[in-house]
Amino acid sequence: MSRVDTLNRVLRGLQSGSPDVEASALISEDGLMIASALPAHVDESRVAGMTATLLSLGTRAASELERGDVEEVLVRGKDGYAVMMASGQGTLLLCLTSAAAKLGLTFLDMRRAVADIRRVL
Amino acid sequence: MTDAPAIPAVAKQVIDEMIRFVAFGPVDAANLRALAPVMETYQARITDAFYETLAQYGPTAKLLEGRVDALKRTHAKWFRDLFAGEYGDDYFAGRWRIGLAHVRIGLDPFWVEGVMSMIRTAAADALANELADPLEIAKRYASLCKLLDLDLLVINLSYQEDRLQRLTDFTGLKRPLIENIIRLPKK
Repeated sequence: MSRVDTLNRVLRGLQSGSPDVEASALISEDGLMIASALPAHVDESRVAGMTATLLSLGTRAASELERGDVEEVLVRGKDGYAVMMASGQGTLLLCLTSAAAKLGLTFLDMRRAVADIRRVL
Repeated sequence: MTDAPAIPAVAKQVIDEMIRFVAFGPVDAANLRALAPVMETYQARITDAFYETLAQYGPTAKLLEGRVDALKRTHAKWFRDLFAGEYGDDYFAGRWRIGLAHVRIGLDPFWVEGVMSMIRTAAADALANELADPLEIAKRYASLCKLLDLDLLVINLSYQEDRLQRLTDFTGLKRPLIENIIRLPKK
């Protein structure tokens, strides 16, 4: 199985194990898609660029505002959350969740997925 | 030697490509060198006219306060270098530093475009006054235009580079990410 296949399997596992997670993607810090489990209508290039931008800005903001190393960046919309966190080797993990998501559980599941991703990378 | 940053590799590549693209070469260098004695007699009045014009505009007048003499000396050197006949890496590195100096004093890039237009006009007048052969005027003026365009390219690239670097420093966005975002098709 290729690394991309393994990474896709990690993402699918994250979604199947966490009902609140509606979509997920693994993205390079340069804003390029590595692996994804996103709805078909979504423009992957834009999602990748946007996610990398938000995590970069969040990381810089946390530093400038003296909040220490960033753990995750969270965007809350009326229809749900976008959660981003670094996943090692210059990559980041994005999860899109429902508005009713239990964020604590989402963070926990994402960290477990990050550990799996680090092993693959 | 200077502590000023060297031209970044990406910008240097663009400059070298444009030098080839406009076919700026030894013939142009010879044309410009031949103009040196003629243009030297016009240098002071071109420089004076240039700063008189700048002094008439609010945004540029403010930047001149208390430093006109020093700026005129810098401008005279820039002008003489145009006709020195040496257009290697040192020449363009010097132009890069000029661009950064403009950024540092807060002069918006479009003023440099205006300045180049003034220099072209003044040089055309000078050549028309001093040279008799229309073909000679055309050839030498063409070489000067090429070099002024390359100067402008380098100065504009230094502006771009500085702005992008400031954005990168402030936001933490890495350059490859910014380049990838710029390449995304518009929605």
